[in-house]
Amino acid sequence: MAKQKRPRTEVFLNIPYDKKFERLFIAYIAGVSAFRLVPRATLEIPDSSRRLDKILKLIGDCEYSIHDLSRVELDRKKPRTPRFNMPFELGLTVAHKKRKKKGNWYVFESTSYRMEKSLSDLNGTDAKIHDGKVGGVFGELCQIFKRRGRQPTVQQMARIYREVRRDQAAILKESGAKTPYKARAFRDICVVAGEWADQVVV
Amino acid sequence: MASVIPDSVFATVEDTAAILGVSKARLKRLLRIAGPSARAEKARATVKYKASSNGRWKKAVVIATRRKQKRGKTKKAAH
Repeated sequence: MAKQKRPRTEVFLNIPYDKKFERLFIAYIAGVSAFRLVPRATLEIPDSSRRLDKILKLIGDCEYSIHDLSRVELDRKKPRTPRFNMPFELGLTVAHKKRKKKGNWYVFESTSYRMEKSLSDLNGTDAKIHDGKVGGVFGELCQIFKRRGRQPTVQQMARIYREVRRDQAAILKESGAKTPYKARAFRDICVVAGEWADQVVV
Repeated sequence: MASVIPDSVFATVEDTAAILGVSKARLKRLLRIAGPSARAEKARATVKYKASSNGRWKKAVVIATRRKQKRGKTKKAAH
């Protein structure tokens, strides 16, 4: 008998990589890990000429994807421009999932009706509103994913988040990174979050 | 989009490491960071400030286990 292909467990995180977003970044990793799913991000992809191909492959590898558009806003540096990476990757994901007719994608926002204003093409899609809070992210993740058997609670996710934040300094020191937005630091944080999920969600 | 019930198996920390391309040696090291023994060791550690050669105060973390080991050695030396 042919060996059955293992169902995908990966979740594509399309989120901003900036200092102000660090808490929510760890919250997403902790929350996704609590559901025993594996977070993936474009951070893993090295800068190269074929970056777009690799992003497309990553999107294809992930069954679920989460797109946080809360930081799509004008930056301070002149010329002031909004960051289009996240809406662009959202577009790629929607196109990919529509063509393949499988997989789910979710849009997260910090404020109600902001997405309807900035991206009216997605009208009819309910954005998940986290209010820019860690607890808000956990609450919305609980609304999205339902796990048979071991459904993690918001409190368990918060515990994983706290433990990962506590270990963050050691992880960054070992990976020689100043921020968690580096490939190695991201991988290490995901592994540590997975380990805490193993211990906390039982 | 409605809620989904992922039918995939629960990813263990080993699965996560394999998918993300983390080596086994690194995984071992990371498990030690997240493990309860590391946490307990950190909690037992005491922080002391020592004067360094440039006149500044330097933070020195002393792990309880090492402190006890050292104390034992001193006793033996005294005998």
